Amino acid sequence: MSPTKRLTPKIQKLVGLDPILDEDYSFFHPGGNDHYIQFFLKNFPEEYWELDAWDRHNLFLQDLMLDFGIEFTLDEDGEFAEYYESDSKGAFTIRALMDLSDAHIGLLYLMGESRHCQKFIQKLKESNSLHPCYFNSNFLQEIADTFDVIEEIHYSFEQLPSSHHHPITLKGQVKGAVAGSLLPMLQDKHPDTFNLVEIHGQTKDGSMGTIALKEEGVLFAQALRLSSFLELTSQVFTDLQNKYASLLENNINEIHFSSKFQSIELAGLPIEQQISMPVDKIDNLLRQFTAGIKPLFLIGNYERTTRELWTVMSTELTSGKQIQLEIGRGQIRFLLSSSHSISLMEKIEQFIARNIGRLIS
Amino acid sequence: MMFQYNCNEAHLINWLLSQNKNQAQCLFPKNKGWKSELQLYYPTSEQPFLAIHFQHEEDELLFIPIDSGTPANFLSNIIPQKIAKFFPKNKGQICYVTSEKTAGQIEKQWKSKMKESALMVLFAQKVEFLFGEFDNARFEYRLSKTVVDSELTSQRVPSVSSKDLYGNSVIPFYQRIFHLINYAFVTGEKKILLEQIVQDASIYWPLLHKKDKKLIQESVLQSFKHLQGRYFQGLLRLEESKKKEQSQPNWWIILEGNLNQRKEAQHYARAQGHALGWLRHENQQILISGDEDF
Repeated sequence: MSPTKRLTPKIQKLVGLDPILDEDYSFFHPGGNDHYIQFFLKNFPEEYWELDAWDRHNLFLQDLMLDFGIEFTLDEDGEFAEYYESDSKGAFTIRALMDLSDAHIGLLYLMGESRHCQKFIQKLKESNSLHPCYFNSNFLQEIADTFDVIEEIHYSFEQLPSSHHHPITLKGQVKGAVAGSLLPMLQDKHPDTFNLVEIHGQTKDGSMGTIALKEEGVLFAQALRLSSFLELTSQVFTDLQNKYASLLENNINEIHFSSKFQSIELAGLPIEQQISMPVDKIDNLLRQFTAGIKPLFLIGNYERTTRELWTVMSTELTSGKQIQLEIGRGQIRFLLSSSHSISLMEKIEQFIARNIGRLIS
Repeated sequence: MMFQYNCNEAHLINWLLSQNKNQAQCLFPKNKGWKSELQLYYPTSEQPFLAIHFQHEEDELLFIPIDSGTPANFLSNIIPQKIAKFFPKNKGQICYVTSEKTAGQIEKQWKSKMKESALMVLFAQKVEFLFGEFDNARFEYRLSKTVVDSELTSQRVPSVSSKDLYGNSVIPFYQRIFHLINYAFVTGEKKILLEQIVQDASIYWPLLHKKDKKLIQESVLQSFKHLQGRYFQGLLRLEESKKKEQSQPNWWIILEGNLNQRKEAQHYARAQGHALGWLRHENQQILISGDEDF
């Protein structure tokens, strides 16, 4: 079943479309509205998970109200929440719908003017209970393959001068029809450093509308067929569900004791990734993960455990989330202690992809 | 590698653990149903040891690591006797595993007393049997396909004993202690019980003897008494409290610093690095010894 099956009619209603009509002509009447979707990981405090869904989500929304003054209204089932914001003349500036029905992934749909939506998302991102899902370069490229025309690409790689002898920078954006042909060229020419962070393109429905995806878990569209937008949303949602389900099932480290044979079962495997550009000065990289400095704000300690491997234990200063890493010159391993470590892992993945080298699983 | 590869028992266990994963290129693929279990044995008063047990339906294997700290009589007498109670020969294969350097040391003994038992040897870039082989030919095939890089083995399991070759098995333990303190610090707690932190930092804690637990607690307390004044001034300190006059004291770590201030957080991170450095230098070993048999 599509994960957006119940979300779709709600969005159609919000936009003002009649779901009974067969044809979706939404792209004819964009009405100055932009559509935004932000995917996020539910990073609720541990104790919230002991409650039932309605209480859990209600508490989370109350936190948002206390922290940011944004008051969502939760429906009876505790699965969808709505929020409206209007200007001084009473016209809506933002209409928002939050889908909390999935166990781990949340979705925020926003309709309104782009700058209002961006501001709104920016505000919500400061919440510790929401972690924006990370779309890595590979993921964005896979989506790009489904586009009819690629209109714009943004790529960003700026190697840390402190970790490499000859730091490389490969940053830029390409607009227009040339973007589509440049994308594979850039990829082939710079396989280790090309890091796609944003992509715009037209879907194959003929509506000529543009849809954009950004690495911080955002889908954004102006005038396009709403059904195509929701179709892509559904596809991304399914991919994310699979990804996080697998992480939660296979990679959360837990210890089970059995006193009978004095035995310990270690559940959860480390996640291993290769770094395409081996690190020259590993001490400086380790500092990024332990010294409480920008941009990661991680505090902790490290120890060289073999000739080639360093064990790092880090805590995020802003949230208290924890993760254990094993770092070699050309590889990194993530040992997740709880579901909260997933968001921290993604933050580190993003940092490495932007500042160290391409990650290969 | 110019020199003979050498590692401790925990490292051998870690390498074996890495052979139980979801990918196909390993000895005991998880996705085919293989399970691993770590076991801790206390066969004598002096020598606790780890073993790892792999199981899949009817197939069972037990691996016993040997490092340079394993005494000779222990190997030929004690281990086989004790293991036989829990893991009789008809249950599955028992394999001993060691590193290249230790293999050279025990080869003679093996030839005279242990030649019936299989001995697998971990080199820097390969794994081979010095004596015996896998009973099941399938594992021989998988072993031949396994890519080995011993230095990149994940260090999931820490060493349990004092006989650590690098003399730093104590550091990963303290790393975890600081990791737990960091969590309390960042989440705004003001005081934490040292005893609780030590318990949570050791993955073997529930399996240890009371005497060992006490020894570890005492050792950590002494370290922190030293560290608080030397590196953590203004950040954390120890405080003693007693419920009653005659009762045992409880030691609390009082967190005084404010990690919301960037400078202070960075200072604290540095202090932690220095503290680990001091611990490494002191090379204190936490001795674990059980006096009961089981």
